[in-house]
Amino acid sequence: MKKKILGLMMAITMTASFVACGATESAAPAAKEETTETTEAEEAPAEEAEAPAEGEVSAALQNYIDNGFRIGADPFAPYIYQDESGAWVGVDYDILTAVLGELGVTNIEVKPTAYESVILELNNDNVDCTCDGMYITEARMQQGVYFSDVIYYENDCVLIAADSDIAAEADLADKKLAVTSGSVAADLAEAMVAEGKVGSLDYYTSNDLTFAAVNSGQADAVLCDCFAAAPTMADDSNLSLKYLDSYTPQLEDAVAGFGFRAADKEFVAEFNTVLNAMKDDGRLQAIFEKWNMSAAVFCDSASGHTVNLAE
Amino acid sequence: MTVNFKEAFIQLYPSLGPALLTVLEITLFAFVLAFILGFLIALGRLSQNKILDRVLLVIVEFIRGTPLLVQCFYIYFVFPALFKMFGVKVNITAILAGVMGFGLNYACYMSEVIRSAILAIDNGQMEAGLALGFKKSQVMMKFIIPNAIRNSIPVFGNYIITMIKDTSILASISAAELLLVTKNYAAKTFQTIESYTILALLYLVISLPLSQIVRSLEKKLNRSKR
Repeated sequence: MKKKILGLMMAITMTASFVACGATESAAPAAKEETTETTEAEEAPAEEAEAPAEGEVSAALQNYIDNGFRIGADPFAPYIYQDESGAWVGVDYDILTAVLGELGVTNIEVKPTAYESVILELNNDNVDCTCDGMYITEARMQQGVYFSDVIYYENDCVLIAADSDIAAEADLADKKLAVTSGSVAADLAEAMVAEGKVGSLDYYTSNDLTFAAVNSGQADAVLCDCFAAAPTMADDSNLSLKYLDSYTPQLEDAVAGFGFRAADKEFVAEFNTVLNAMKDDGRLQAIFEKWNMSAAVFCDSASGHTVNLAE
Repeated sequence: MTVNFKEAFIQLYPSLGPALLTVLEITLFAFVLAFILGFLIALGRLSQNKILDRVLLVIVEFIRGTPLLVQCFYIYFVFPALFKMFGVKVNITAILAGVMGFGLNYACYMSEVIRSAILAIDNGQMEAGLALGFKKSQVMMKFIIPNAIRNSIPVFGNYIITMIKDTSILASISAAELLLVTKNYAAKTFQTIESYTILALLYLVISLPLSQIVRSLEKKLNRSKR
């Protein structure tokens, strides 16, 4: 009996992860087209040309080389988190350490910081950058964040219980949705409630609690971004959840970047030069492959230029 | 980065109102539940029935020995999940889970208060009542329990104040109370300094007058005793 249940669970998880790949891959072309239109691709090469030559680095970079660099992170897989041995790992961590390492910054410290106060900590000079797949938004720029170029695209997805009777997006109209407080998915869900596409909304303080809510039947579905869902769907077979295949991502043009201080402008230019080089020679794609990410998350150097407020 | 309390307050204010009502609603119902349950537990523990006393003691120690947040998680996430395993769909709202969790938890603490208040009443009252021809249960109900409860009113008052502040833990089970509403706002606008300062002040505005009331009640009760 036990073996049978275990087998069933594995089957569900496997189906769910296949389904996941299918969903994100089909959304990929649309995502790329939209971003190409909205970002100013022609500025990217100019930026690369200004790259500082070997030996002359910005004051900020020299400071980071000498005194170390502090990443402000709300630990969450697959962005940045600690593995069983306590070592920091994750997509964001890999990208950051790869770029910083090439810039000569080797003393890297991760400072666990609550997501909602990470910008405050950045402005207070308690951390040197934000991560966790933070979306590049104008509101955040106004809060003082100076973003790197796009590191990847992020889409949103809907998770439902494996035995749920929800079959299409329209079925959500009378259902209760769980979202994480302060996430961009929460904003989307609020709009969906206002439009009558979703019955009601419950806020939770972390992603794992939204999954638990659906798992225990307290909510019917979770709306979150694919990065948040992917590791849970892959790792935790106790959560009998599946993707709602028919859901159309609303965040097709959502782009994530690392957030720095505007005072570190020159350092960010140096950072971008290396980041774009990694995009061009395939090292960034290798990091995504290592973390089983869909190819849809990749944003090439030409279309990934960020226009910050201070520019 | 600028700090703008006025703007934050104007934007936060509309959602704080309903959240405050939720907090008061949970506190009120949970306190009534805690008082009734606590009273019954105290009576049960004082009864001659040794088995009842033991069973209640185990329950009280179990609840007092586990954190309130864990109990709320249990009621909100675990019970529905257990029922779901057996094919029964149970939906406990976060507010109901909060009332149940707080009611049960505080009942255990309050039962001890009531129990010791009853035990603290001088035995002479019982003897005098019996000498006047009252039955033992009559003496309990008419003289001892009213006295004991009157003596515990200041303690209950303090429990209400603690309870109001404790409701913030219900943010974790999606109850739209003050902390969760503020957290939502802070996460959306990154106005961390403003939001949480306003929240802290709001809790103070509620609890300071209440503790003042409790203090004057305490004085009043002490005076009438003399």
